[in-house]
Amino acid sequence: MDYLDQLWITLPAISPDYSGVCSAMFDLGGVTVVHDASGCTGNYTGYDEPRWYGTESKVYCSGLREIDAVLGRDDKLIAHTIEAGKLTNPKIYTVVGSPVPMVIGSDMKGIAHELEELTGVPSFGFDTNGLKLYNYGISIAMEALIERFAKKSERKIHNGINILGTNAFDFANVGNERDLEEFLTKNGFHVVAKMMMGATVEQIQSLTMAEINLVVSESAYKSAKLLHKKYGIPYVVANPICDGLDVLDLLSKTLKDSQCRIMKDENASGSIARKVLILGEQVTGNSIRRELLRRKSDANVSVATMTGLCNELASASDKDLQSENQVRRLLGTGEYSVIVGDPLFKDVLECMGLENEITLIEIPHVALSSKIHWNRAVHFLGKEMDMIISQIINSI
Amino acid sequence: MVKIAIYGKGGIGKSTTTSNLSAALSIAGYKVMQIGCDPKSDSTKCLMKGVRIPTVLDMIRDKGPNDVELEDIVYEGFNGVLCVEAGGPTPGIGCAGRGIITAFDKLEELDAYEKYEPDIVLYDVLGDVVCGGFAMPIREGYADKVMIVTSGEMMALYAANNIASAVHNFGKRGYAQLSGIILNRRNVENELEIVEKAAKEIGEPVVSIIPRDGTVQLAEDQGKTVIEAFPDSQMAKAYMNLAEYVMEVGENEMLLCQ
Repeated sequence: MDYLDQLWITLPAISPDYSGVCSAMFDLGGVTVVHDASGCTGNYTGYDEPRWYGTESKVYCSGLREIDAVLGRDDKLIAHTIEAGKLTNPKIYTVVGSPVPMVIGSDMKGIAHELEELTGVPSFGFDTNGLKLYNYGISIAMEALIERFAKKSERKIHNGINILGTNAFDFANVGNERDLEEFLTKNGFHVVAKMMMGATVEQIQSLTMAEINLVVSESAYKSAKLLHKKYGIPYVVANPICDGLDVLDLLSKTLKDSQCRIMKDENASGSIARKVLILGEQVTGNSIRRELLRRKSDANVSVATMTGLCNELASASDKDLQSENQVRRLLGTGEYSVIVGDPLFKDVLECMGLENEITLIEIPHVALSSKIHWNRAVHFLGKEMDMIISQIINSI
Repeated sequence: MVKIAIYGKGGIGKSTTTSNLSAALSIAGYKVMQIGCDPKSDSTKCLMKGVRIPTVLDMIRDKGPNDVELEDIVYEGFNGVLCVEAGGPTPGIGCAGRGIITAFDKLEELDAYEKYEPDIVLYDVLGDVVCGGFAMPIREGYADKVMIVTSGEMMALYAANNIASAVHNFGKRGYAQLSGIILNRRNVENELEIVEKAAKEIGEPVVSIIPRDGTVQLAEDQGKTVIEAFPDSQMAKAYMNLAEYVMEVGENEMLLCQ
């Protein structure tokens, strides 16, 4: 990566790790405190959390000031957090790091340990620093919650399933998580736990009663591997879209043979000349590719992500694009004729003079375009996604 | 695996004590890793034939943060002791404490403990617990125990007391616990009585007394520990005695874990 790769000219920054932790904790009924001067908290509440408006929230800013950083006033953070807790009676406390605590070496886990000693309430600390991305934040929060609350269960629920990886950055706030639960229930599954949209501590405690895990975003992949290693629960990595039949097929196979499965297609380099690049969340990207291939087997489709490509989930032709510059370089090669991704990529295409050469099929991604497009977020299951798939096929 | 952090006033003999302890433990059959946590980066010199090894921060600076490998930063010294130096920033600028954190994060990221599987890890830490970075070796997941090196000199005892207070304060965070005081004699008048009195106030026993002896200097002049250069000397015996105490601490800690 050269220095220019760190320039973001047209696209905004992708949601950071501390927002990922806050979002993961959002539904758990706890107090979350971002240790910052207020910019990071404001970034999360104002731009990264579509559920912020209209729901009860217990996300606070520590109000870190220069002198507190210099003097190492962790005691103030702890006292203020406990004060906030007195007003809201939280089920858990979470303290979340930002760039300044990273620079002064604040020990967020140690602070959480102290909070728990003083209050008796389960407490979590995360050394997030705003330099990593939301999917990392969600991932470490999920793992910490599972390590802390999941209990080994002797009893299994027949067709019991956990939904792992729903989050407001990839699923927005348009009811995708509810559609998914309804879809699985209608198809004979019993949803044991949902992580993280709709999660409760009680659900996490009982998630080992499930027979299978469905991983619907890359941010939950490590948690699924942890649950497989520790409790033997097999997983399927795929996000059901359109009629979701392919995912049901994978789930049914895994229920029978307990083998973990990842939806990815190595043979997606068909003869059609107009190549497709799906640019967004990796697991949903894989699922869109599968749906395209189901309908047009000779399509040529790659998946790319700007949030760190997970190689285990990737096919050979998939791309790890770590910056706007790398996106521009790839689009500039002329290799792809159709892009499936956030509406903000239109600005990139226009800026490069490629708007007439490359067709953009829009699927808003909250982690990138935030509130500009989050009301236009797509319903993955059902007709809306069906129409988008048809639109892509008509463009190639 | 047992992890022990050795703290004490600057210049009190922590690196000499730690290196000789590492060497003695390795002779006793343990796989030891010694991590120097001082920007001076000379903790492991006497285990490496007097040669300074490249530090973690040097390698991050030279190769870039994503291209450092374990082989760049972990060196095998006397009798298989694994040597690491955290290193420091450019003198006068940067942040030494943050440097320690970065070095520790890098070791963790590269799975150093899982790959080498040492029985005992010794952190040789600069002076006092002056900031978050220098508390890193005693945070959760790092050292289980802290030992303090002191002499009977006023400033050394003052530092020992500060370190003990910091460790006690961090008790609420589940950090490492104190595990004794090592008296590194400077032959101050009534030294043993003075240190024993201070130890009583701190609430920790004096677990080892290292005599003042020219053998240490002679060994260091050869770029070696006393254990390597003069294995039959009285000084070597003193370090072996300290190693026996550490082995006992280690065994108790492992029993506790089981």
